[in-house]
Amino acid sequence: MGGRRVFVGYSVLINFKIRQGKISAIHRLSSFAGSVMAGEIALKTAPADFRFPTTNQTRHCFTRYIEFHRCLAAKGESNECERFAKYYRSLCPGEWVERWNEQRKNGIFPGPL
Amino acid sequence: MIVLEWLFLTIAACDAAEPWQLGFQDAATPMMQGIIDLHHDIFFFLILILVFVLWILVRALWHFHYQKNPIPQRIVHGTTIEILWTIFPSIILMFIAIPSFALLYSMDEVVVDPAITIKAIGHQWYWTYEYSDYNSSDEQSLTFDSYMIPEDDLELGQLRLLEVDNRVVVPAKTHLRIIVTSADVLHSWAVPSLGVKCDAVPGRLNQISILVQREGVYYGQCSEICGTNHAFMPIVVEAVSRKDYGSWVSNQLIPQTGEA
Repeated sequence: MGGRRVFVGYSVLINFKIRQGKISAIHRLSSFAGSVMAGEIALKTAPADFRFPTTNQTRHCFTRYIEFHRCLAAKGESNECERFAKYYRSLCPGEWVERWNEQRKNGIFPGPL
Repeated sequence: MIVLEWLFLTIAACDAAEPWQLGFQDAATPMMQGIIDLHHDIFFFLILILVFVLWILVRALWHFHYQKNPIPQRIVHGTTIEILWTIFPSIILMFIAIPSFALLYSMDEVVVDPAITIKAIGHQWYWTYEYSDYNSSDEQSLTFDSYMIPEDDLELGQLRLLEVDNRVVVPAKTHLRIIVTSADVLHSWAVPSLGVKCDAVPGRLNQISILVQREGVYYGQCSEICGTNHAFMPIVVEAVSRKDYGSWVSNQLIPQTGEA
């Protein structure tokens, strides 16, 4: 990892870039293989959504929940809506989902369903 | 291996706090390795500057004598040296800033889709972990609480105030998304070996991406004051092979499908 030389700053920068390159190369290989498997379990989850690029994913979870219910209202119980269901279940804590389901049942859900 | 053990040369990674520990725990993610490397880079310049400043300071104090040498300095002006001692620290700062910004911006890059999402929910005074990728309905299929093992119940060799009854099992060499939140007050999910510290805020979902590069058991502690047992709600992450993770998930899910 370079000796104690004055230009250590540049070697570290290059190292970071190489490390990033290595990491994305490893990912490219696994994503070409399809979904990652761990025994019988498929490792799939909600993908990163570029509408919510920051650390705070509260709106991401809320938006997925609303998208699922709007899809249900528009298309009924279809397989396409199941995708959104998987996403919000992965992202949202169970307590939040239960609370929102209660609110929907009582007609007081604070969202554009 | 046996010979190495006999010669006391086996290598065991430091993934938990050690008594009288001075340095970092061993890194298990690229982020933590980056933090450690940055620390080494900055520390180099820090020692240079420290030695230089101490040398000048001690020298000035040493040569001062109230009768023989009351004014130890003999030079009062010098445009060249004044320019030099402004430019030279700026250059040092630049050499510190370059790896620092490289690390900072590389931490923010979210270039890959995670394979797993795990939710860490802080309570007073324990953590709940939800693995909801395997839910087929709104009912939680894989969720469990993680309480600290009290000192009286520890077995020989276990770590005091760090062990828990149910560990967070994750697959190594896999991109994880951890969502941290709280059900009551502020907590913080911190695991030093993984280079992770993320506040658990009620009503907010904080996302962190980690890639654990080696199998092992990593310990951390709640890092935001949350009441009387704030010191007694640790975090233990156990990174296993992907196959073992798959078996663990299947075993956890079986009772649920059995009931249904």
